[in-house]
Amino acid sequence: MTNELSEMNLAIKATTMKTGKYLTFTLADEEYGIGILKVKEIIGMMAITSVPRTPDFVKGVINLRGKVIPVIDLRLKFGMDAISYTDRTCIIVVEIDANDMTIQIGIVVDSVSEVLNIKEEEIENAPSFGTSLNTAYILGMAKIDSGVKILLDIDRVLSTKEIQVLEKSI
Amino acid sequence: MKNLSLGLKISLGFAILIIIASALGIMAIWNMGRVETQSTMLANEYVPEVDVAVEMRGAANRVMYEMRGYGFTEDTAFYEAGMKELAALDTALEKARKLDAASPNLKQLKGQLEIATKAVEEYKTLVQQTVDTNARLAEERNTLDTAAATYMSNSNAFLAGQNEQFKKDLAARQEKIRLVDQLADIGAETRVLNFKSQALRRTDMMDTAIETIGKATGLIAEIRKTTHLAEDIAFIDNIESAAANYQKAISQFIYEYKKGSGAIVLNDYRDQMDKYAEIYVQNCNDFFKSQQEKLTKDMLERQTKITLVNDIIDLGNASRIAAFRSQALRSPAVMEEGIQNFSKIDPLFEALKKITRLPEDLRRIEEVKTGGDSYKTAMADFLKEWHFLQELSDKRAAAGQDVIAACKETADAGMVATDRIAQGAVASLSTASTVMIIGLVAALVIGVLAAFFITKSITGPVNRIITGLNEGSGQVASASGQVSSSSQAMAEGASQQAASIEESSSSMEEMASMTKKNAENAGTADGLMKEANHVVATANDSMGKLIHSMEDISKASDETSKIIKTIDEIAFQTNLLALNAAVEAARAGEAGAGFAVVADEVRNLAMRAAEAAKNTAELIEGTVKKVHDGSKLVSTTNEAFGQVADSSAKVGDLIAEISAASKEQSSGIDQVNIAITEMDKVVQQNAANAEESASASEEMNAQAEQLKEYVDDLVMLVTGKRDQSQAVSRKKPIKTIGGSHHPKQVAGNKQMLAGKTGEIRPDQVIPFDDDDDDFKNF
Repeated sequence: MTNELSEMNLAIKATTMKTGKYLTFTLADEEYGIGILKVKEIIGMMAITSVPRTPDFVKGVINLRGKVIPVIDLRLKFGMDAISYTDRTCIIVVEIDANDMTIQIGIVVDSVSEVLNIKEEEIENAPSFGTSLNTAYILGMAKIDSGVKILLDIDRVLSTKEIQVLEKSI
Repeated sequence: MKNLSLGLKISLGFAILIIIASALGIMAIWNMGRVETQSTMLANEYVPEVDVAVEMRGAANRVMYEMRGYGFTEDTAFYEAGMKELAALDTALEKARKLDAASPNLKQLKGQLEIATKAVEEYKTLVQQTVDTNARLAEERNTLDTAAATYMSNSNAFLAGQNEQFKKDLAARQEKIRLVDQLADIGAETRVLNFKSQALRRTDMMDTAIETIGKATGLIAEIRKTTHLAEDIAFIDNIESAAANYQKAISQFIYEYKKGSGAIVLNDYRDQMDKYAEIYVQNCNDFFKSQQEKLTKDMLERQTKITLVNDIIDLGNASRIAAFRSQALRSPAVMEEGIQNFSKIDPLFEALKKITRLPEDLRRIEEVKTGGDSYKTAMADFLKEWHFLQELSDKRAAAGQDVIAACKETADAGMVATDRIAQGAVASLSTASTVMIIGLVAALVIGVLAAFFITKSITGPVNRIITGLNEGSGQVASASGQVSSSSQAMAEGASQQAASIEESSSSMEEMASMTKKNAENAGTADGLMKEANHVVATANDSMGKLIHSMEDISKASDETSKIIKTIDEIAFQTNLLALNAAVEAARAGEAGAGFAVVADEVRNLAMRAAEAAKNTAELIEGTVKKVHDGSKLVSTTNEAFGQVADSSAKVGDLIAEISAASKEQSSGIDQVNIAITEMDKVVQQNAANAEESASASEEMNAQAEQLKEYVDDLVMLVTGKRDQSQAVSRKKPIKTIGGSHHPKQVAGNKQMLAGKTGEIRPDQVIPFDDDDDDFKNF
């Protein structure tokens, strides 16, 4: 009984606490991180079928082993300049919880770096830039080797409305 | 002018001079004659005219002066003097008339003489009138004086009468007043006595009163004598009756009193007495008062009258004084002012008449007035005459002025004419002298010019001819000398030429042998160049092969780099796989922990592989770059070899050309040799010709000398001297002819001929230093 309790606590802690493994990637020379449990898989660049009447950042859909998955370009989503894709460009397939269901979305990033184990004390909360700026999609800032990696809460990067649009596009 | 003969020219010059002299003489005679005529006219007519005019003017002036004195003073002495002067004036006029008759040239004199005569006549008439007027004036003055005396005596008489009357009136009036006063006193005394008697009841006193009042009657009678006015007579009557009544009343009172009548009767008489006494006193007082008033009135009237008369006398006196003053000052204006006084007197007379009642006085006033009127008339007449006299004086002055003006006009005309004639004479003389001077100067100038031009026209051409001949002979002489010396120089030059031609011939042979040697050397160089071309072609071939192998190396490197890219790709895929594995391991939780380690290792390997591939790629890239540089260098070298080949080919061509040219040169030199031989011959011929021309020039020189002698003869003819021209003629030919006299200069010429034969100037050969001044003194 006590054992089960302690496991539950650990599990809760794991979900609430920020300690854990993060998949890091680069976007315009900046390092970003996503919780490894959110990642389904990493694939190289492949043909993207564009879908009409979708926002700019939605690049289209891909056929991943018989399954159609919508793909968004994180550069465009974050308002950065678009670049042409290279050998190193990857698509990270993530699972997003929305409306009591999980959907898979491909995120186009410049390159994938590594899987890092980040501790609680290395993470700081997102700084407040003022009330008008929404920083809810930032989980925290990881201080590693005198650099800062931005940890993203991928569930909040896309709004509910956008997710609905993506669902519809499938 | 130039075509005229010498004699004709000289004659012409003299003829012009003679004509000018004759013209001058004629002109001088004519001018002198004219001046003489004018002078005669001046002496006989114009000067006497001025003289007479001046005389007349003086006489007229004196007459005017004397007559003016007579007009002012009425002195006959002045008049007589004036008459004398008038006679003198007449004499002068007569003289002038005679002059006028004798002188036909005095045009103005006649007219002026007429004016003067007429003025003199008029003047005489005026003088006569003046005399008459003066006589009348004297008469008038007497009348005036008489009238004034009458007037003044009348006035004074009237004044005296008035004064006397005044005194008389005053005495009568005073007398009357005294009598009236006595009357009043009598009344008062009577009354006092009456009252006293009544109070004292004494009748005797009453009798005294009656007696007293009785005295009044005598006085009244006296008063009546001197009283004429009705008013006064009424007063006197009243007083008399009152006195009578008073006396009667007193008498009756006494009677009644004595009778012892009652008081009523007495009182009644007493009342009567009082009443009459009252009337008496009243009248006496009134009369007295009226007399006093009259006295005052009379006195005032009289005083006014006297004042008026005095005024009249004053005005009369003022008029008289004005009359005398005006005569003394000779100013009629003062007398006119005096006449104005009479108009002031008339109203005074009127006023006097108004306050005068006595007929005698009125008559006297009338007399005085008549006297004043006659005085006034006399004064007016006198004034009229006086004005007339002044008018006459003015007229006289005008007439006198006319005479003087006429005289002045005549004198002026005479003076102007005299002046004009004198001016004319002066002008004529000055013109004559000017003309003479100008003529003389002209004659002098023309004579000098004619002499100068004639001489010049003769000597000029002759001199020119002499100069020309002299120059010509000098030039011929110098030219012949020059020709001679140059011919000798030529001969020497020809022999020298021959020697130098021989020298050139030998040097030409040397040149021919050297040219042949040159041709041989050029052939050898051509062979060498061909060998060099062959070597260069071989080098070019090797370079091509080198380039080819370089390209092979480049290709191999490209392939290697492709392989390395594949390796890199694999490493990337492996990395992805490792990452996926790590994700899967994480999802598996605890169970995947070991797998996660493996995945990590795999990823490390993949990273290392990628790193190695990257290094290799860099190395290969370096190699490719170096190969590329090498191939560039090779192609540059290849181009350089090509240029070397071209250059050597060109060098070969040039050498071949040099070889051909050398051959041609060799044949050219042979031809030059032949030409030199011919030149040698020509030079010999030249030397012979120069000798000949030297001898010919000697002959020419001798002929020039002959020419100079002729020129000397001509100079002698023109100048009359021989010395200078001889010196001139001797100097030159001897000096110039014959080059042997100047060995130094010829030697110099020889040297020059060796250097530059074309530049010999005559002045270097022949000395011209002292020839320039030969003809200067000619």
